[in-house]
Amino acid sequence: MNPSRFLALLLGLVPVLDAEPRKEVTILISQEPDSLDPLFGEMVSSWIIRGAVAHELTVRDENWKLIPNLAVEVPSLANGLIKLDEKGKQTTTYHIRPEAKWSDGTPVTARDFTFCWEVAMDPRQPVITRDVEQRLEKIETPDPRTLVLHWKETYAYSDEYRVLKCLPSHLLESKYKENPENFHKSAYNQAPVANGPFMLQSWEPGQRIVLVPNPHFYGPKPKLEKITYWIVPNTTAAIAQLRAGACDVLSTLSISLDQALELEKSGAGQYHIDLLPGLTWEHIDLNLDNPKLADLRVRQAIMYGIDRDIIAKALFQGKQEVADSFLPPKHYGYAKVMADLKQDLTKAEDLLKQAGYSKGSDGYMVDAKGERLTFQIETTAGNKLREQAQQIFQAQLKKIGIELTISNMPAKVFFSERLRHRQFPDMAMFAWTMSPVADGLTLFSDKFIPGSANNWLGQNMPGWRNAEATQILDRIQVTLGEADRVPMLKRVQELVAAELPSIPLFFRASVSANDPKFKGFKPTGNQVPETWNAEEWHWAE
Amino acid sequence: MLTYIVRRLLQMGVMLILLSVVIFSLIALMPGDPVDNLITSDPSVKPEDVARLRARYGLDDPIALRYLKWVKQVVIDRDLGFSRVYKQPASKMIGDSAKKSMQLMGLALLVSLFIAVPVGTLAAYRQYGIFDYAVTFVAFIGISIPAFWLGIMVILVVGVTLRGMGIDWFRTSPPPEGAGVVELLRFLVLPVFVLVFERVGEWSRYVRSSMLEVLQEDYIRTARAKGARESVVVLRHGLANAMIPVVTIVALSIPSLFGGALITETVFAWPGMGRLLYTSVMNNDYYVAVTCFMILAALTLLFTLVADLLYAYLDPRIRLG
Repeated sequence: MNPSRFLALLLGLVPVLDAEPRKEVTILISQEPDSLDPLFGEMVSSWIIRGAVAHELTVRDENWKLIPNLAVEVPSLANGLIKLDEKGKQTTTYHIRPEAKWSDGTPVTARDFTFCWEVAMDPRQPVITRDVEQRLEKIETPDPRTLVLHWKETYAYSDEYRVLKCLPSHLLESKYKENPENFHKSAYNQAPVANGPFMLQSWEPGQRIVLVPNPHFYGPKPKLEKITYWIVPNTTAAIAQLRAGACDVLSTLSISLDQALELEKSGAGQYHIDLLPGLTWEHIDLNLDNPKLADLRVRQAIMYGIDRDIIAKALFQGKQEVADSFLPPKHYGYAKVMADLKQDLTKAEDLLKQAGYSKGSDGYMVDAKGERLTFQIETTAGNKLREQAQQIFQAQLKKIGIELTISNMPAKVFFSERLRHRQFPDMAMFAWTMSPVADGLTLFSDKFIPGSANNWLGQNMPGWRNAEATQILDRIQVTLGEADRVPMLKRVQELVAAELPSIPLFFRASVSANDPKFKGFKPTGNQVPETWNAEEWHWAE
Repeated sequence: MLTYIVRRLLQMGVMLILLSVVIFSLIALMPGDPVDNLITSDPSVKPEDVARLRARYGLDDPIALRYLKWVKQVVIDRDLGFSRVYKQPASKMIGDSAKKSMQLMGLALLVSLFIAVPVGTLAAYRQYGIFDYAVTFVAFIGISIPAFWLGIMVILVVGVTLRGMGIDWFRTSPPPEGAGVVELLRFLVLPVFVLVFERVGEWSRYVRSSMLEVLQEDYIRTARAKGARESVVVLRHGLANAMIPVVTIVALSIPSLFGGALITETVFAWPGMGRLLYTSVMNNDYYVAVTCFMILAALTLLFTLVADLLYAYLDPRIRLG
C-alpha cells in the first residue's frame, strides 16, 4: 500500500480523499407549478421546471443572446430562414435537430409542433392566450424535421423564445381525438414527457418535484443525477432552511432583494448571492384622466421632485439600478433617455408655479381656488420595500409643496378592478414584467388603454394618448431585424421621457442564492428560466 | 335523546345550506377573478381570449346561477369540481392535503392531551406551589409566542445549532414519499412541537381550572372522609368529573384535524389543508376553496353536536332537548 494512503487511512482521511463531487442538488422554490403542460401552465414555477424538462426551439442565454435549442439554428433574414415573398408575406423556417428525442426514445418531429398548434387553436381548450398561434396562417412540414411557419402578417418576433410550443403527438394525439373537451384535464399536466436534459421522476403535491437525467437528451449528458425542487412558500422559512443546510440553492423564485442583501451581510461569504438586473419594471403610473396630472408641468414637477438614487442607496444598498427608461439596460433597444431627469427642487417648484400653483402658508402648493395640491399613491400592502419607498417619496415631494397621501391595499384588491379598471385616482406604484424583446406596445399605445370597449385589456394604465408613439409601436410589430427596430424604440422611449405618463423607478433584480461550491447555475435575469442550462450544473470537486 | 339528535341533524342540514350560500357568495364576490389575474400578468391576452375564458368559467353568469350550477354539480353529478389552477380534481387535492393535516394535527392533538391533562391536574392539586406557577408561566409563553417565530427558531436551532454540535436526530425538511415512519417522525416532531407548545398552554389551563372547581366539591371531601386513597380521590373522583368540559373542548378541536394550521404548515412547508385553503382563496381557485370551506363547516357543526352529546353522556345531570 502507498505510504500516504496508509497514513490517510490511519488518520481517517480516506473518506475525504476518496470524496466524489455530489451528484444531487436541492433547490428551494416558493411557488408550486400549476401545470407542466406548455399550453395550460400559467405560473412562473411551471416554466422553471419546464426549462429543465422541455426545451423550446430557441432560448436566450445569460447574455440575452438568442441561441438555438431544439432548432438547428436561429432563423433570421441573414441566413434565409426568415423570408418575405414578393407580396410581403413572411415565412419562418425551423429545422429541428435530428438527434432531438422524447424521453421514451421517440424523435421530436414537426408533427409535435403542429399538433400543439392545433390544440392551442381549439376553442374548447382553456389556453390562456393564442397571441402567436393566431398570427399563423398555416404551418407546412415538408419533411418530419422542418417547420415552415406562414404568417398572416409580418411578425417581428417569429424567432423568439417560446414562439411555438410542442407536445408529444405520438402519446397525446389519440387521447386528444378521443376526448378533446377534457384534454386540458389530462394527467399530462402533472406528468409531462421530456425532451430536455432532465425528466420528471416524481411530483409530491405541495412538497417536491424530483428530476432525473433524460437518457435520450440530445445535448451533453447532465452532470447531476438528481435535481429536487422543494416547495417552501414562506421566504423567511426558506432562508432558515438554507442556513440549516436543508437545501443548496434558493431559486430565483424565492427570496426578495432585501432578504438577499441581509443574507449576504450575515452569511459572511457562506453563500453565493446572484443579483442580476431583471425584467421587472417598478414604476409609478400617473392617471392622466385626473385634470391635475393631465398637465405635463405637474408630472415633470413630480419627476424633478423625487430622488430615485437616494432610494436605490437607502433601500437597495445600490444593488438595484435606477430605471432610466421602461426598457431594461440589457435590452437591444435600450436608450438611457431619462438619465438627465435627476432631482431638481428649484425646477420642480418653477414648473408648479407655471402650472398655476403657489405656495401656501403651510408650505404646500395651492391652486387659484386655494385647494391644496394633493395626490394619493397606492400600492400593494405588505410589500415592505414599496411602503418604504412611498414614505421617502412623501418626504421628498413635501419639499416642493406636494402633499402625498398613502393608501395601500392587499394585492388581490389592488390588481383587480382598482388597477385594471383604472380606478386609482392619482398614482399607482407597481411592476410589470417585461420580456427581452418588449417594445412597450401594450404599455403606451393608445389602443391598449383598458376600457369597457376593449374588455379592460391592455396595460396603458395612465391612459396616455400620443399618436406618434402609437404609430411607431404599430410599425415596430412588423419590422423584421432588431437593428431596424432600434431607432424606433429609441423614439418611443424619448416620447415617454418627454411626456412622463409613468415614472420609471427601478428594474427589480433577479435574486438567487446558492452554495458557492455549486457551479453552472446561471440565472439569466430575462424570462428564460434558471433551468435553461441544467445539464451544466455540477458540484465543484 | 333520539328526537334531539334528529332535530339537531335537521338543523345542521339547514345551516349547511345557508352556509353554502354565504361561502359561495363571499368567494364569488372576492376582488379579482381567474381571468383578471391572467390579463394582469399576460399583456398578449386579447379581448377574444378574455370573452372565451369568461364564458368557459361562467364568470359572467349571475352569482345565483353559478351557485345553482355548483349545487347541481356536487349533489347530482357528485363532482366536487376541477381545480382551475392545478388542473386536478378538487377531491384529489383535498384528499392529499387532508391526509397531511391529519398526520400533523392528529399527532399534535394526542401529544397535547398527553401533556396537558397530567400537567393541569398536578398544577391544580398543588395550587400556588412552584409547579403551578411554572406551569402558568410556560402556558402564557406558549399562548403568547407567535407560531411563525417559534417555527423559524426551531428550524434554526435544529438545523444550525444542534447540527453544528453533531446532533442529527431531527430533519427540517419533510421526507420523500415512502421514506418510512421513523423519517416522517424525525420531521414531524418539529411542527408538532410548535403546535403543542401553543396548545398545551391553553389546555393545561382549562384542565387546571376545571380541576380546581371539582376539588372544591362536597363529594371530594366525602371521598377523603371515607378514607379513599388520595390517588383515587384525585383521579377517579376529581379528574373524571373535571374532564367533562375538557372533553367537549377537545371534541370541538377535531375539525382542526382536517382544517390544518396555516402558519405552521407554511413555515415547515407541510402541504396540509391550511395551506391549501389559503392558496386556493388567493388564486381564485373557486371549486377547491368552496369545497374546503364546506367540509370544514360540516365537520364543525357535526362535532359541535358530538360535543353536546358527549357532555350529556358524561354528565347525567345534563338533559338535552
